[in-house]
Amino acid sequence: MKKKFNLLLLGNPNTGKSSLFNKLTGLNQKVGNFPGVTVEKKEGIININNNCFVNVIDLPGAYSINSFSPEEQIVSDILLKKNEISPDAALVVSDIENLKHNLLLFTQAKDLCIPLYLAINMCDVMDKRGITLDIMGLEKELKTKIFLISTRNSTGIEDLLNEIPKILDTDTSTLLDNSYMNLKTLQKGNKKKQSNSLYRMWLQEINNIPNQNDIKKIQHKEAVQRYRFINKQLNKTLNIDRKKAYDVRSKLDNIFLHPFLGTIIFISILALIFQAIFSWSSYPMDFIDEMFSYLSNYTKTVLPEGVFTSLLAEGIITGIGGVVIFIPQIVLLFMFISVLEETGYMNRVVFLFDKRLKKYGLSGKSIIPLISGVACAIPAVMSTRNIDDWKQRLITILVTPFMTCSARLPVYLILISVVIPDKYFFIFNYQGLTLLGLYMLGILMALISAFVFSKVIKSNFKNHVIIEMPNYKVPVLKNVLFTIYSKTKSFVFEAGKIILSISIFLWILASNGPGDNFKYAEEIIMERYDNKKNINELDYEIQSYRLENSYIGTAGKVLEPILNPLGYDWKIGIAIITSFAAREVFVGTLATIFSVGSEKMDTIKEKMSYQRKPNGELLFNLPTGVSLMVFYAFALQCMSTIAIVKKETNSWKWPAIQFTFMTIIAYISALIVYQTLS
Amino acid sequence: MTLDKIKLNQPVKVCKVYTDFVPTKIVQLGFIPGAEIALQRLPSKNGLLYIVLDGFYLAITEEIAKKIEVEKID
Repeated sequence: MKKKFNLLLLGNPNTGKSSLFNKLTGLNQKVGNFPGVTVEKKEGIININNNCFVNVIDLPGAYSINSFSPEEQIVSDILLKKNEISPDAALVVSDIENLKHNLLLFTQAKDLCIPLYLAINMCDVMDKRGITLDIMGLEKELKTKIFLISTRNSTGIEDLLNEIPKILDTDTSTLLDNSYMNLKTLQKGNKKKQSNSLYRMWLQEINNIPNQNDIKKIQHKEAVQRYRFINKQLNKTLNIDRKKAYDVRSKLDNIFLHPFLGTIIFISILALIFQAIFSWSSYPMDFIDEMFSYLSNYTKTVLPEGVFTSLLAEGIITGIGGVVIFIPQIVLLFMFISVLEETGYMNRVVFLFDKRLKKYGLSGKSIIPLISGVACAIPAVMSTRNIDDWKQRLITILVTPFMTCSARLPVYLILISVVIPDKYFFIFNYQGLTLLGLYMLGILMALISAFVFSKVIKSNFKNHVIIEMPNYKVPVLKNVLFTIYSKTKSFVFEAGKIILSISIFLWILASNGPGDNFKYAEEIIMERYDNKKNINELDYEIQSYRLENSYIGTAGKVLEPILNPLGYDWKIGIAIITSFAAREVFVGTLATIFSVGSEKMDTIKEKMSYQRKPNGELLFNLPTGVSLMVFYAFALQCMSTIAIVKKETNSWKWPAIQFTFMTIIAYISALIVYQTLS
Repeated sequence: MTLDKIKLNQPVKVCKVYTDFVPTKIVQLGFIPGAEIALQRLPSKNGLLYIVLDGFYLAITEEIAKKIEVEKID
C-alpha cells in the first residue's frame, strides 16, 4: 500500500534545518504562509520509489514547545494538534556544536509520542572542534535513530532519505518520568483522553492556568528537569576536547564587532548593497522596460485596433512588465542578504545595532530593509522576513516606504528644476540642498513613525534581547540560489497577481470615460483646431483630451476641491491618481496632460513653468512645488508596495492602515507647507 | 555575584536564576543551576553581554544578567 504522511522538520534556529529541507525536497517546494499569520510556510513532497510520498514541512526555528513568538506558536500548535497540519512524524535537526541546547526541544517532541528521527548536522566540523560522539550509546539513551549529517557536503543525506519511509514504525516511548507534572489535575480533567500522550495533555492543562507566574514556574521546573536528563545522557556519550578545537570566531568577532571597525565594515557592506540595487540593477531593469515597451508596441501593430488589443498591449503586457521589472533588484538584494545570513554575519549586525534601533521600535536587522528602501520598497519590504520579532518586522514594513525610493527621483528632479532656483548659498546649490532635505525628511519620518508605532502596536509576545551568535561559515552557493529562487517566485506569483490586477484596473479607468467627450474626443479636437495644427500635435491634443475626460480624469476633477488647499488643480490630481501605478508615472502623465508628446524633462519643464491657475498665478510656483514634493515624500503612491505589504503581512489590514496614515501625513504636511509658503 | 559582573577568563557557574524576573526562554536556553558561563568579549557599550553558556554562544542584555546569580569556578 502506498504511504503518505507529513514529516515535520523541527529544530532550533541556525541548525541548518532549511538547508536540509532544500536537500530533501530540491525544487519540489511550495512557499506560502501558515493560515492567518505572517509566518512563512515551506513544504515539499519527497517521492520515495513511487510508494511513499512524504510531505516535508519546514517549521520555523524554535527553542522549545512553549511559544514566545508567532513562529514558536505555530510549532507549538502543530505539535499539540491545534493546527490543521497533522504531526505524523518529525525529523529533529540539531547542530553538533549546540547539541545540548538543541535537545531540549527534541525531548519535548519525543515525550509527545511523535515518531522521530534525530539528524545531527555539521558533522564535518567535529574533528576541527575536537568533538567525539558515541552515536549508538546516544541512540539507546534517547530511544531514537540518529543520523550524523552535513548539509554542507551532503554527508548522510542519502542514508536519511532511505530510512524516512520507516519512521512511522519507530519507538514512540517517552524519555522523562512525569515527576514535574501535577498529575492530580490531569487525572481529573482528562480521564477520557487516554490515547493522547500524557505530556500533551499536561501542556494543554497548564495553558488553562490563569496566573502567568504559575505557568512560568511550572515551565522553569520542566526545563531544569529536561536539562538534567540531557546532561546525564551527554556526559556518557559526548566528548569535547577544547584543546584540539580550532576556531576563528574570536578573531573574526574582534574585527566585525569592533565598535568602530565593525561599523565601518557594515557601512561599506550597505554601500555595496545600495550600489547593487540602485545602480547595477538598472541595466537589466532598463532592458526589461524596453523589452515590454517593444512588446506592447509590437502587439498594437500586429493586432487589429480595438478594445482587446488595447487591453493586451496597455493593460496586460504593461502590467506584467511592471512585475518583471522588480526581479533584478529582488535577486541582487536577496543574494546579499542570503550570504550575510549564511555566513553568520547578520547576527553580528543585530549585536552592533539592536540596542540603538530598539529605541525606535526597530531591530538591528531593520537597517537592511531601510537602506534598501532608498532604492525600492518592494525588495526592501520582502527582506524584513529576516527580522525575528513580529512587532519589529511589522514596524519596519510600515515605515520602509518613507525612505526615498528611486521612483521618487524623477518627480523630485522635475519639480526642483521648475520651482527651486539654480542659485548658490555659499558653496551649496539650493536645488541640491532641496534634494538632500527630501532624503533626510524620509529618514526622519520613518524613525518618528517607527517610534509612534512601537508605542501603539500591542504584541502578545515580549521581545527579550537574546541574540544567538552562530559560528562563521562559508556560504553554500546552492542555499543562496534557493533563497533567490524562492523569493523571486513568491514575489512574481503572489504580489505579481495584485500588481497586475491593479494595473489592469487603472488601464480600464484611463481608457474609458463617462459621457460623449471621451467617446468623440478625436472629432471634438479636430473641430476645435480645424487643421491649425499638424498631425502629431493633434494626436497629443487628442490623448490629452481623452485623459481629461476618462474616469481617471473625472476623478481628478472630483478631487480638485480636496486638492485645492494644497495648491493643486485637477491636472495635478490626475497625475497623482495615475502615479499610483508607480510614482515616476507622474512625469509621463503631466507630459500627456500638457500635450507635450515627449517625456523629455526639458520639454515638460518648459511647459510646466508657464502653466497658470484660473486666478492667473503660476501653477507650479514655489508653494505648490514644495507642497507636491512633500506630498510625494510621505504618500504611499505605489500599488506594488501595497501588494508586497499584503503578501508579507498576509492581510489587507496592514496595507490599508499604512496607506491611510501615510496619505493623511502627506496631505497634512503638504497643506501646512503650501499654506505657510503662499 | 550576578552574571553582569563576570570578567574575561574567569568562568562562572550558575547558582540561582531569579525566575520571577527572568523570561522562561532564558531558562529554556540552558541558564539552569550548574551551567557554566564564560565571557567571550569585554562588555560593549550597547549593554549586551557576549557569553558562552555550556558551549552555546549568545548575547543577552545586562538587565537579564543581573537576575542570574553565579559563582566563580576554581
